[in-house]
Amino acid sequence: MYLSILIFPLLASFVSGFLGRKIGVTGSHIITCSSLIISSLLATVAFYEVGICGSPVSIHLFSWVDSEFMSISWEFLFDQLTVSMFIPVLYISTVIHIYTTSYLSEDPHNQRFFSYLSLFTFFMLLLVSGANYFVMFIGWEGIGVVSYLLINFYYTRIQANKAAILALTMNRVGDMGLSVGFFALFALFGSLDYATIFSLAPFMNETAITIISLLLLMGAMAKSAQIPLHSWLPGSMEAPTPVSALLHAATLVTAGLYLLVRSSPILEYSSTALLVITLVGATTAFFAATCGLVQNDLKRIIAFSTISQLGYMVMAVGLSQYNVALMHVVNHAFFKALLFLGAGAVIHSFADEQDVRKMGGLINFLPFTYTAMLVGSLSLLATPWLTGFYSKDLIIELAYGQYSFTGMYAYILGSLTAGLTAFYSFRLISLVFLTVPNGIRKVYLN
Amino acid sequence: MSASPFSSAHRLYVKSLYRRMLKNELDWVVRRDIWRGRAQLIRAEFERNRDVHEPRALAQILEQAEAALARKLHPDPYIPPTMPGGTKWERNIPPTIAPLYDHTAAHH
Repeated sequence: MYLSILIFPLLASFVSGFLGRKIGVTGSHIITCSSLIISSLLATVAFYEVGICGSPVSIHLFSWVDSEFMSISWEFLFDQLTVSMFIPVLYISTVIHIYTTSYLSEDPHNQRFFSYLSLFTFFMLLLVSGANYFVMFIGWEGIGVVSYLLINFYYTRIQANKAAILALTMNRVGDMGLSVGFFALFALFGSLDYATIFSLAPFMNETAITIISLLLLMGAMAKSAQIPLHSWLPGSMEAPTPVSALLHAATLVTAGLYLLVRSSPILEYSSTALLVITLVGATTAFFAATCGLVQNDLKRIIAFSTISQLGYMVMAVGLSQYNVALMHVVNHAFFKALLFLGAGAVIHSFADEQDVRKMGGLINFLPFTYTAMLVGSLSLLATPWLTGFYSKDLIIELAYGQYSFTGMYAYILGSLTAGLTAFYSFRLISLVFLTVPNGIRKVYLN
Repeated sequence: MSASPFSSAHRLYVKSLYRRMLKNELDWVVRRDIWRGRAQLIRAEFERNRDVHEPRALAQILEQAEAALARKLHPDPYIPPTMPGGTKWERNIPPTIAPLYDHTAAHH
């Protein structure tokens, strides 16, 4: 059952990709959406069994690399962290597949798009369910490649080409650091298995652990759009809005966070690395929020908001609060995907206009979309009793509770960022829904 | 059409400058009601120089106007989605009916 959670999206992707002409657009919709729904149901059962009842599952398929000391197997581990990542990835992917059936109904190449979306879901599931760094890396590279394919979906558009190449090359920079980190891991531990590494980590030299941690951080920085490897994320808004919702809000950008949380047994033994992680995260959160204040493209505002929230998550990892970081990953995945999907509805209603300076007065035309985006924004602002409150405010409180310099740095920047977040979130809501209509008259008459 | 002492090219250039200034102002101001007031100020500037006919003076005024516009240019101007540089530009271009490369002609 556990492996079929991964296999269903892969099969759907192959059928939609290679048999797309045979099955047609509707066939592609039905096959991919139903496969994702089945996977989601199985993942819910897995979450109950592993996450709530506490019985992790380890599946060893077969050996892959067996060369002197290096022994890498196709091995999968379904523990609490894995199934906690399954839930946002699969639920959001399923919802986005269903959303896209209508969103891209007027675009060509639907089968290709659904194939890519399902393939991405498969690679993301592979990433979070690997039992060693190598299987994780296959998923890591896979989501990078599929991200390129999805951003470049409108391949006749030169800006999309450039943005896709930028995303791929920036991720490769991180992958370089990550690869060297794997070499260092193998040199120190003689294995890439999580079990071996995490058991031996307490007995290793702190300098070696610090170097490995910083190299792993480099990979996470590129994937999770931390400064200075963040500029690919606003550019990736060239992709259709469902791609932005799935990849650049909920799943791909959380792969870096997953790596850091999974590697927490290593990170804990290097206080230098944790300090660097906290500083990077806090700086990213603040910087991205300042950028989001002055953006005019609807999707770019939400993209910078994503970078800012990823900064919060990385900050939480640096403060050794891995469970809080994971909670914010899951919460953020849902409300950010909500914001992106709402933005997609707004963009379609304005005849594909994305500039907020030409929007306005939409509250009377799209009250449901307004409600959805308002709830998403309020959750982003950590309004009491919405999900964002329980994770985001907790991160800021934990930063204060460190009683150290980096904790205070993180606290001050985190608090300022929260204020800036409120500003640009309501700027978005105001310019799109509440202010006087600024768009073309014909659009409002439709 | 009323007779004008200015050439058609000059009139078109001044109109182009006026449109660019108005568009730039809208990029900054966003709200059309506030923009209306600014547009009237820009129009007043143009009206102030309405009766200047001397070419050198005109050239200097226009140069200063262009310099002022360049200073105030918006870094992220609004471009309609289907125009070059817009978000929908070059999206889903249909494939050509003619072959991309004519192999038989290349051999002859």
